Amino acid sequence: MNSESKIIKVLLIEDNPNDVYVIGQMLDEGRSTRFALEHANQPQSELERLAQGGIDVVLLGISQPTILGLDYLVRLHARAPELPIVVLAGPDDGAVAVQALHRGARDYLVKEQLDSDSLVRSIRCAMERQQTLAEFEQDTHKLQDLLYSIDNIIQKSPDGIVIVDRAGVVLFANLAAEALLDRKTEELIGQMFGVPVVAGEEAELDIVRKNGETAIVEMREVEIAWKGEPVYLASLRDITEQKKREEQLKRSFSDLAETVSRASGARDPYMSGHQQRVAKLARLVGEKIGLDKDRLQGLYVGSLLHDTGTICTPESILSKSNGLSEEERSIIRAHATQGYEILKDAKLPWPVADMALHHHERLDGSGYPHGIKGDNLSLEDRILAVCDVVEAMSSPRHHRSARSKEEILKEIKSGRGMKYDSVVVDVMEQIIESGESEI
Amino acid sequence: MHEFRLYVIDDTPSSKKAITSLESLLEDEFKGLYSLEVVDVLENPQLANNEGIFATPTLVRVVPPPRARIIGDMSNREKVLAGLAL
Repeated sequence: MNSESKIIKVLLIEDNPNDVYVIGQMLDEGRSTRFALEHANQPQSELERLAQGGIDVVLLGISQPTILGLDYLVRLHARAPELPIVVLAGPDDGAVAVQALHRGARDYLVKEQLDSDSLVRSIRCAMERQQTLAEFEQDTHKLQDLLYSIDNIIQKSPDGIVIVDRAGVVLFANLAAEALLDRKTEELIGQMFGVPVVAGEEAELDIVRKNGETAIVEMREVEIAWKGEPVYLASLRDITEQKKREEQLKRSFSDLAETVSRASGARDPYMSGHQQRVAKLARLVGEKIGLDKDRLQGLYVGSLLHDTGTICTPESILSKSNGLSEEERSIIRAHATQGYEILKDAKLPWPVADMALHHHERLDGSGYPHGIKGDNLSLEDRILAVCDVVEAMSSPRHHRSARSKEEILKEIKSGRGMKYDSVVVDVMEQIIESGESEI
Repeated sequence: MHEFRLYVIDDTPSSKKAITSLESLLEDEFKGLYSLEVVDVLENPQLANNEGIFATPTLVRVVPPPRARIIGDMSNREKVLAGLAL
């Protein structure tokens, strides 16, 4: 049913019988709209009638000497705020009629100037305005609910959220941010946090709490609009426990690598302890070069396992004291690839398999198994290569005794910048000369 | 002459990474005409407190004024320079 054909139920509150009659006539004359008029001149009963529902619009007479005034309008509007009210005023009631608009009436008409068309038009406009207002209020409530939900989500988010302006000054911080940064919101708002910068997806931050404890936080940042201005939103997640677990796991890897390393060395008394000694030496070189803690640990574990592939080498060849045939050399050389194959699926957090594969490669491409050159060899590969040579020369083998310091230095210095990395050789020379290592 | 102060904590991975990244970035950008002071928050809590440091790594451009401050990963050259309004 469209609005053209719908019967509009009008409640007329008017104590002048003549006006009631005239208005009834006018509504009957309405050509495009049909009306059903209800009337009573007892204000109290009309309020009760409204409570029953079914009324579309109220016409309220307020002209003198009517007993109905603005107070009644206020009560009426309070009882049925969803109902449009059109006030019917006298010619001298202009000021009162305007006040009526401020107190909830949707329109006012002067009775003496009234005709059917203007009355019908006013009723329809009042109803449409009321509907628009109701929809607006509904949308406003939805928006308020949404804003409340968003605020709730942000405040209760387990991740800290800090919003800063383009200069890095804090505009907003949620509860989790308070906890992470160990400061109340009022200590954060307006303070300089800094413009958040992230190189990849996230950045790692360190925080010192007031009690001296430190925490590790993962920060992500995104640009958003805040009150119409472009700002940065930094989300902060406490990853301290996660980092501790990772460290524990890495220590376990190291312990396991030590065990595996000892087990693989046990087959050959001459090789026993080689990997462990290389690992210690490599860690010392790495420290002097300035590798961070994590890379040092990876270098150590990779060095502990670099000869893992020798478990595939026949013992008869490993322990052979006479010269090796070309075929036997080729079997021994295969240990680099075999070590890689064994380690590559271990999913260790460091390039351990690559280190096993590359530890006999040389910068000038003269090494094996692939003759890889220069930049394709990592710093870990380069350190391990030198340490492996130095340790091997300093230890006795089946077919020879241990080499002297001078012989070892001669070997690495002659290969400096060609077979071996210059920086690594320089550091190794310093270690050997100072007696810092048991070479 | 630009003066920068980098606040870090101990030798954590993020601190080391920030120092390495900044030394390279600032050298490329200012060709020796800069100073970079590294402040360990644990060793100089008062200095960090005076500056109102929330977390590290935080880089402050001290000179030329006005002070500008960034926080996070210093390895993205463009973001670092933009954050410092350079």
